[in-house]
Amino acid sequence: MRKIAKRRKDELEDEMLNRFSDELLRAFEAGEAEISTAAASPFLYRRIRVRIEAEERRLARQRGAWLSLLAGVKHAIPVMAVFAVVAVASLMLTRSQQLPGPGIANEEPTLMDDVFSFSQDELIASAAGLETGQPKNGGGTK
Amino acid sequence: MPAEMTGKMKEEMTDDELVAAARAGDESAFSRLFERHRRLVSRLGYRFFPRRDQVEEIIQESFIKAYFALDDYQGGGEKSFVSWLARIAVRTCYDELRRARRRGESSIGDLNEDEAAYLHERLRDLSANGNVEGAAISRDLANKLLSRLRPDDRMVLALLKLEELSIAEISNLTGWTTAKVKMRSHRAQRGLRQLLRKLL
Repeated sequence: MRKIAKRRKDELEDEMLNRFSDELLRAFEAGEAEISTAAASPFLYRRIRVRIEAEERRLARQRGAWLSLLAGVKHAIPVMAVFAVVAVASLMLTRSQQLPGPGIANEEPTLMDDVFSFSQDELIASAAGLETGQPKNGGGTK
Repeated sequence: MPAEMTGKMKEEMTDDELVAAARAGDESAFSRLFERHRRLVSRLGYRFFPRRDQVEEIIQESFIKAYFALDDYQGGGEKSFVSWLARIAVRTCYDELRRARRRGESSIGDLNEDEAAYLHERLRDLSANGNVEGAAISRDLANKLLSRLRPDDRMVLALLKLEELSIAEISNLTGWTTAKVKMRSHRAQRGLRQLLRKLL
């Protein structure tokens, strides 16, 4: 019973607050004269035109910037292509110069130069232990 | 004479014909559209904003958006342009309400002691004798209370109660589904009740 009474009281309160809310909304409502005054405000259309023109100029500048960027890219592409071709060609030329040719390899000084500078006779003599001035046992200890 | 004739012709032209002329670069055609519909936008602006400068800004912003969106306008129906422009204006109001809320303008914290006491008294009177008519709430005070609502809730409430639009019409105007509009309307009314209950 108490629950029903409480619910009824809440419903009445809600209803009262809803009416007050509607009153609030009505209080916010503007009169016809006010609406017309704002709509007929002097220079309103002029201000709109000025802002439209400013926006159009901004868009045109933006388009212009893009177009000049594209034009720049259009000119840059052949130049960059030439650079790329020159770079690739010079790289290939350098590589081909660095590749070991038939007569070139022997001319390069290496650590093994001394070994390969022996004559064939000297190598045979060394292998057989017949080298002049060298002890037969190779100078080793007994 | 030819200028007068052109003016007369503009008067007689339909909205769709004026849009076509404006698209083709005829500035006076757009000016005519502005003359014809600025009051509609002003009325919508006053549903959400109390000050004239705010409403003028809504009118300017809405017509600028409309101008740059003319190519998207499809037309066809008798009231097509009005509906299309109203959608733009409502969207502009909604964006501005959201911006104002982000800036924290006109919150309940702005209620001074006198206003809070006045509201309390009015609500007590209402509670005692049920007389709403004598509430005499100022627009500024109403704005302070209404701006406590979320922008989307406030939007739905104003269109429903002040513009007296149906759920379907609000749905068409805002681009929200009917279920969403119903839910927001319900939430807005509950929110406002809770707000007032705090002042009781």
